Formats: sequence, C-alpha cells, structure tokens
Amino acid sequence: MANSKNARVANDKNTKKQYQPYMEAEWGFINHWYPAAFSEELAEGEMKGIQIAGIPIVLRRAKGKVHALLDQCLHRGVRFSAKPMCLNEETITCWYHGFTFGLEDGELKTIVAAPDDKLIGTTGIQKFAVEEVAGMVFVFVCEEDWDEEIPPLKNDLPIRFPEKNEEFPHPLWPDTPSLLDDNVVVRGMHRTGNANWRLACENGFDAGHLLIHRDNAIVQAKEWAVPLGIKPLDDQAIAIIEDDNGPQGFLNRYFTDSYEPVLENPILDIKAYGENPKYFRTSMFLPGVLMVENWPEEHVVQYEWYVPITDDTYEYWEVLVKKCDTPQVEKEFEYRFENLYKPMCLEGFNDCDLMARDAMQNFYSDGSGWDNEQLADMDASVIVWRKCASNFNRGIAQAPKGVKGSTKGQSKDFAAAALGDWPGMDAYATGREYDKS
Amino acid sequence: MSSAEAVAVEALTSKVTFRFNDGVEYEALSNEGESLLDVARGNEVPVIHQCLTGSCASCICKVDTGEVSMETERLMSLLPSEAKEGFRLTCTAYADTDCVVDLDYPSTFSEDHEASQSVITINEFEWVNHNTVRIVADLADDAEMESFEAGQYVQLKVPGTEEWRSYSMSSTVRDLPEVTFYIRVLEDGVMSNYLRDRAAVGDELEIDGPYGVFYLREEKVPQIMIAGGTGLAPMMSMVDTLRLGNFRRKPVILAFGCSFEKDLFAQEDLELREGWMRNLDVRTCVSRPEGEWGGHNCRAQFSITQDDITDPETIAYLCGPPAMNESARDHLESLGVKGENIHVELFETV
Repeated sequence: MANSKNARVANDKNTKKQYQPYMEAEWGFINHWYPAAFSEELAEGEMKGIQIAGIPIVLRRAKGKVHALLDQCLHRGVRFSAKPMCLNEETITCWYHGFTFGLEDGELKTIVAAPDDKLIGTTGIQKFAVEEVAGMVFVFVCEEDWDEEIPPLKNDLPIRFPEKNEEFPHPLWPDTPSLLDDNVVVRGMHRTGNANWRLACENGFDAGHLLIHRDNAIVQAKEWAVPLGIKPLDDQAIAIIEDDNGPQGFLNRYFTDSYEPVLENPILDIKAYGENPKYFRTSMFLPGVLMVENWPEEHVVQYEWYVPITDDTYEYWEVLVKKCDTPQVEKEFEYRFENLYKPMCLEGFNDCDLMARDAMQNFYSDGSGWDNEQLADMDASVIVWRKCASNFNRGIAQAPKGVKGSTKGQSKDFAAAALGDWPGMDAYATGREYDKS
Repeated sequence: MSSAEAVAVEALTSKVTFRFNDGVEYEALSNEGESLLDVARGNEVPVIHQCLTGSCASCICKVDTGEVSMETERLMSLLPSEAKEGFRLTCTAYADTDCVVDLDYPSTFSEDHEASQSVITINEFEWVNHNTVRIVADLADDAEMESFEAGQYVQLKVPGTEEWRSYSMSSTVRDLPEVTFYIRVLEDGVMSNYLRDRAAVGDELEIDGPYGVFYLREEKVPQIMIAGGTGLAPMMSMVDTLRLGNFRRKPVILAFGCSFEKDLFAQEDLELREGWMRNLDVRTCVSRPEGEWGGHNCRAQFSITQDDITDPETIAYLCGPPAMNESARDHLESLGVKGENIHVELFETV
C-alpha cells in the first residue's frame, strides 16, 4: 500500500491528456448557440448588454425583431449598453461620440456630429445571428471571421423525443418535451455564478453530488427518495451521442441495470430517506446544456445552461419546459412554477448547486486544481463530458482583450467592491431606455 | 578618379534589393567578396540568420532578378531543387550583378523574434521508441523568450561540452515557459551520448533562440505537412497552434513517415488531435513494414495524391531528411502546389 495516499486511479496524467482542449477552454467554446435573454426581458425598443465567452454583445429589439451586435464601439471601445441610445429603428448609436451602426449589418452608417466623415460606410462592428423561440432569445456567438453556414439551433439543444425514444427508451415518461416542440410553455430564471463555467457544467450531471440535496425542503416535503449517490456499473452506463447534424454530448442511463443507486453507508450509518421514488435522467450537450428529464415533476423537463461570461463567472440558466395543450393545463403549471418550483427547486434546491460551484472556484482558479483534483469512480461521467467537449466543440474561445474580466482586479472592480456595486453595473444588468426628450 | 577607374569600381559593386513579404524593400551596395548576408548586416537590413556557415538555412532568400552565385565548397543545406528554383542562402551567396532577392517573412520578423539566451531544466525525460526521447523542460524564470512561431527551433548546449545542437519545439507558445522536444538518439554524437548515458530529470541546459524562418503561415488555405522521423516535432507545434486558433474549416493533412514501425512515436497524441480537429487527417506511413502493418505502406510524401490538392494556394511544410524534402518538393509541385508555398526545414542527420 505504499504511496496509496497519492494514487490517482480514475484520472491519471494519461487520461487528462485526452481532454486537453477542454482544459484550454477557460473562456468557453465559441461558434455555438447560447441563451442570451428571455423574450420578456427585451421589450420593444429596449437594449441590453451581456457578455458571452468574453465577447460583449448588445441586444436590441426593433420592430419586434431582436438584433445582436458587438457591444463595443469601434471608436473608443465603450459599451453601447452602458447608456443606451437609439435614434431610429434601424440603428444603434454610441452615446459617447455618436457613431451609429446599422442593426441589420453592423455597418457604420453615420456619425451624429460628423455626417461627412470618411470612415462612414467603410467599417463596422460584428453582427451575430439571433433566434427567438419559446420565449427565449438565442445568439450564435462566433468568431469574427466565421464564414460558414450557421448550424441550426437544434444542434446546440438537447436531443428530442419521440425521435430518440427507440435509442434511449424511458417507459416512465414518454416523449420528454423540447423547447422546439409546439405548445410548450417555458418558464425559468437566470443569474450569475462566481465560478468557471466548466465547474458549473460538471456539477450539473455529477452523479455523486446528490448528498448536497439530501436536506433540501422540496425533497423533505415531497418525501422524494433521492439516493445518496448513483454509481455507474458498466460501460453501458453512459451513452455518447455523436452526430454531425444534431446535438452532441452524452446521456446517463440512470435507473437501468447500468447504474446502482447508493441507498446507505453502513460505516457512517446514514441512509437515503423518503418514500416516494423519484425517477429522472440527466444528459449533457455542447456547448454546455444539461437536460434533466422528468424533473421536477412528471412530464416536465429542466434545462440548464452555464454560459461563460468571463473565465470566472458564468450565467446560470434554469428553465422548465412543459407541453401545455390547454389553457387550463398552462394556468396550473404557471401556478406551480411561481409558487412551488421557482422558490423551492430553481432557487432552494439549485441554490445548493450554485454554492457548490462557487466553493470549487478557489481550487481551480489558478489552473492547479485541474492537475491536483482526485477524481473517483463516481466521476466517470465528468471524464466522459470532458472528452466529448474536447471532440465536439466548434472552437475554443480565446482569452479576450479589452473587455470586462480580461484583466483581474481593475480599479473599477475595487471601487465596485467598496461601494457594494459599481454604479454603471446597473445598466449592464438591465439595460435602460434612452429618453430622447 | 579616371573614368576607367570608375568603370572598374562599378563592375565590382552591385546593387542588391532585399524585398520582404510585407512589401518593405531595402537597397544596399555589394562590394566584391561580400556575401549577401554581409551586405545585409552592414546596412542594417533585417535578414534572419544564425549559423553564418551555410548549415542552418535560416538566411534563405529567393532570387527574383539578377545573377547570384553560390559558394559550393562550403557545407550547404540548400536542396539542389531549391537552388535550381533560385533559392540561395545569403551567407554563402554573392551578387554578380544588380539583383532583387525576396525574403519570405515580414521585415519586422527579426525584431519580433529576437533570440535570447537562458537555461532550461528537464522536467520529464521519456523514451518514446527505441531511439527517440521526449524532453519536457521549463525555461528559467528570468528567460526573455516570451514567444516563438510554431515551427521555429532553438539551440541547446550539450551539458559538459561546448557543443550546440538545434531542435524544433513540438510545444506551442501557449505552453511557455514549458518547452517540449523530440530528439532522435544516434549511435554516436555528443547530444546522443549525453541523452543515452547521462541525461536525467533536473538537468539544466543552456538554450539560445528562437531561430528559423520555417514557421506556420496562418493563412486560411488547406495545409499539408510532411514529416520524416523527429521532423514531426515542428509539425506538432503547428497542428496545436492551428487547433488553438480554431483553424477548422480547411483541411490539414499531416503525413508522418518512418522506415520501420518501431521508429514511430507520438501515435496517441496524433490520434487524439484527429478526434479534436475534424479537418485533420493524419497519415502514418511506414516504408519498410516488417510483418503486418495497417497504415500507409509508402514514404510519407507519396501518401499525398492529386485528390488532396483542392486549392491552388495550398501551403505545404516539409521537415525530414534532405532526400525526403527533395522528393516531397518534387512530388508536391508535380501535383500542382506552387513552389513558393512549399516551406522546407533542414533536418540534419549527421
């Protein structure tokens, strides 16, 4: 047993070598679709600044349509969203020196106080493709020189049913709904987590972390029989989903013979409690979207995204999707969402996950955690995800320059900390209407 | 000065125009007996050079107009086919008439890639096949080398001797201060003897670099890399640099050849990269297989066929023994790759 304290069985150096690109993706993957806002957060005429994978993006809805442009004026680099100004429905104007860009193409159309400037018509800012579906706005966040056909949004969302019923049968909850189905209602929330986006992804499907949910109110109140953990037994436990023209990732075959729920630990004399069996299944897809089927109630699916903002912050998205064929079904679901699932699941239950990811950040933030972690058998799906992500991503986001988070400890961050917040942050978070009068 | 004398002086001096690929031109007068490199150095023309003896090939140029002769007695690392196409090593070439020579790198290259001297400490020492070692080493904290181009090399001083040898990094600038080398261990040779008999983790070696103008041109065209033996090292740096730059939309072919299967190495690393880059096609070639061999049974260059040349601007990189480089250049040109798009690294096996 010599050296047993230093044994690294599940994740030795040779294994790590196999997912090097994932290690390199500190700022996320690029050339993918990411959620950017809920539709209701962008009323007609409104503007909102966000940042994804180190790229500042400004969203604006004009004549009903959402546009996305680089949120950085090419003149002096300020964010348009810091002080929204739009002087007509076709353009966005920089509040500082009046550089005005077309919403459709990003081109420099005019400059408020210099309409004859020679730059006009010769330059512009990057424009991003947008899709709005089921109350969510998605942006295709790509490199500036992307010149290929944009892959369909469905390739960056979880697999769909019934088309995958045969491959991944689930007799207990047939036809898991999808964001892309007809008559679906999508309800959810998003907020910022203070950890690297990869730590958040891995927490999402980590089979060994159920312990943190043991005492959650919803688990207790509903007497859910949530195991202490779920242990993979064979190589069928995890199915890799590789498809050049569809979602790519993996699925955990929970509640089949390939996984065993761990119900007690006799050494510690601890047992899973709860009388009501709780069957669910997790799967994860590029660029980092989790699907929890049959959760938190029957025939509902929870999606989660962990959208990289910087290399140490991510936007945590949680949405519930349910097929509602009648107004009555929708009304009842809305009620349960507002009064039960939002406070007790998306907040209560998943707050524990948010805390766990933040708690990992110190260990991983300088890069050494990836070398020094000691993964175990329970982490099989973590390693599978890292390899899938390495193989299936469309590009690694480069460490950005000149944007929020590209240098640490900026004076304005210190000021923000001292004040509890930076005054300008408010505009970043919510966007504000420019009052022409 | 009499008019006769003036004519004589004129006959002995030629005007040399050095033209860099960023369009910057320098003009200088060459006096009798001065090599092109002497002219460049005497007039602060930023021509890359290192060994000054015709062996490193760093100072390569291509003659556009005029007559430029070569000193043939000295050890030359120029391929005969390159010489025929007008390539010259400026350190051993002389302007016989007024001439224009092209340098296939920007005029700022030498300033941006200034060599510096430091020390590396060996972190990992691994035999990757019967005669090749992989060395991972860390640059000293105060090292000035902050960047290099994928494909460039450094010189390492053999411990306990005054001898320097050149090796290309297989790692990328992103890995700095860590650098990785693949080195073939010969039956005899100062570095080989050191590696075989004495090298150990923790050893310190003096390092000087980066050097060379064999480097990745990051143009968005198909890329073909042909490597023989440890000529794979610079290609690995190039492949990783392309991957990190999300070069995914044009094909990259890496043909890696050895005589025998036992000479291969880095197979797992190459396989992984094929998984990570959908556009990367690695062709492992063994020219003299013993027993069953499932890969290409040919020299690396001959795994490239007409079907692989899909773009007239295809860029090719060659790094292997001189005979391979020579044959690969001929082969690629016969398939339609432009001579000026073929970049060759000298690979000495003394």
